[in-house]
Amino acid sequence: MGEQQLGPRETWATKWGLILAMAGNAIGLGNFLRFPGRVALYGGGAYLLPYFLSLFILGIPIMWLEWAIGRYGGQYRAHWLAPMMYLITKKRMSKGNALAVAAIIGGLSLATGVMLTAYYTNILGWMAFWAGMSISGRITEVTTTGQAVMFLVELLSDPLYNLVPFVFTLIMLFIIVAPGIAKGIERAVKIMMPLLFLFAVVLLIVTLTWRTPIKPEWDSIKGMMWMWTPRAEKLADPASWLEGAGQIFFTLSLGIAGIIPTYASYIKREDDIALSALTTATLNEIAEVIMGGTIAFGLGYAFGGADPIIAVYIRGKSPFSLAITSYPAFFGSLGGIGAALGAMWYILLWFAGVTSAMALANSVTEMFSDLGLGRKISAAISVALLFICGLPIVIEGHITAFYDWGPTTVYLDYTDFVIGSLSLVVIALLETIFAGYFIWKEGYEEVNRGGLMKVPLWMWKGVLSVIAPIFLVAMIIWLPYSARPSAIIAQTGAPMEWLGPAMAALSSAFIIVLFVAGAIITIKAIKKKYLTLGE
Amino acid sequence: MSVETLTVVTTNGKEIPIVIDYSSAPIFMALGWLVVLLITLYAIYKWKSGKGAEKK
Repeated sequence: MGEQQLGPRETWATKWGLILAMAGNAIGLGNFLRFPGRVALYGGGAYLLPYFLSLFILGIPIMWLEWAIGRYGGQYRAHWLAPMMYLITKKRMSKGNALAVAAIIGGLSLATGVMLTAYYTNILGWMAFWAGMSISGRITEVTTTGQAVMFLVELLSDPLYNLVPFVFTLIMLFIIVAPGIAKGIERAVKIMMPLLFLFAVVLLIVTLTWRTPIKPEWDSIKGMMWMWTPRAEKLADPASWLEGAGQIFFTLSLGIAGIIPTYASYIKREDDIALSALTTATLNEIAEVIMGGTIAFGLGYAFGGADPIIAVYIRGKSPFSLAITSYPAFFGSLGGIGAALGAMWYILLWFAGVTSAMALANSVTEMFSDLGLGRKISAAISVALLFICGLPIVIEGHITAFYDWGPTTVYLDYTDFVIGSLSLVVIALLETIFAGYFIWKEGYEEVNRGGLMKVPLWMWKGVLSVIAPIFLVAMIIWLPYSARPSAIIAQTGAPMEWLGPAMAALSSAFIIVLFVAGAIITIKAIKKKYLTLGE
Repeated sequence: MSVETLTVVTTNGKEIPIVIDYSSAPIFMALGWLVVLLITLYAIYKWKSGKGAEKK
């Protein structure tokens, strides 16, 4: 059945709308908070070697693959990953086997899309909380890390207080996703992404030029130098290489519930994807290496001296936790100017997160749309699922604070381990094998069609056939080992013994239910719409 | 000063000196920025040459 017979479809209104949406999808909290921590822990300046090597021989080629999968699927009105993979896989396998592969991918996509977004929007709620504190000026009441922690504990332990920023973020996601690509997502990213870069540039200039009145010897440049100091001995540790690949994976949002193929499915058949994908990766690297590699550690040292550096560099604490506990005190102690800088910092982080979350919510919405439910109802169902699966985080915070154990985030950390570490790598491995290795020739033609640049053949064939599968299998082994779930569940000691495993079990139950539901939706949708397409 | 010694106090009160020589840090930071800049320039060049070819 030709494309014309399938009827009209939604497409991006402008090229820059597409690129900003894809860049927004990639640019998230990880650029500004995860990357600096990884650099500090895995070799400093020397980490650039595994990082950039992974970018060129793994990240960018898999990005090209995902864009090609998406644009190909869009021809057949497939706007989520599972039916796309069905259409592609049946070129080499029987329909039954192709359906089975698609069902697995559909299950993983729904479980990942819902659970990851559920905890991510909780975290974005905390960013919205500090943004609100900054805008209202109340952040000036916070002048020590202890006070910041008290505000955060109050937020996490009071379910109503915690629900407000979480629900606010979910409502914004619905408002953005429900109208569709051109009228919702594209409009939102055209506002959020320029503002994100503007705020980041302002904070970058502040970091590089301003000396705080807290202690004049706390030089922001020194903070950056701490991070970039090379420790070449770390390159002998396989962890640095795997973490370099892992960071590239997370930062480019590869394999995450098929969100890149979903966005690419709205591209017209003859429009460029090779150069557009490279441009998206470029914008992500500007946000990560230049801005993320400067702001967090620079500001941390300027406002807190060596303590934040020691916390990350030596004790292995995540810069994310510093962002919500130490940084509010930094901004708060500077009065009005600090409140303004804090507002920029937390709004930037919220924008970075929401532009990623909207891509996830959109993918889930497309799944339900294929059941004939209509866009608005599908978006509402998606957001409702996010609320239900994110609610345990709020409840856990309340219970543990009420019993004076925390608050803790076992549910969040466990879900992050299973979904954030494992499932996306598995999805990427399936994409690489079935859409890359098996049909690399057709894929190479697809990715270069309409291209404003030509994808090098060695990057396409060599990576998808050899390098990517090896790396991805190694990551599947390494990432769970590095996360160590026993540490997650045992983190708070004896009083938490029943609640920690209970939260992990609840998360597992949600993941299993969503996986089964995703597989069933996939099979139903494919039998209804896609069974004979692409022949 | 490009060499700094930090004293980290452990939870049992032991003091551990950590010496960091960050004299080569600017080189590596500049290298990172340079790679990103080169990718950016390459992408801009390709957009411009692609638009030129379209006009022809």
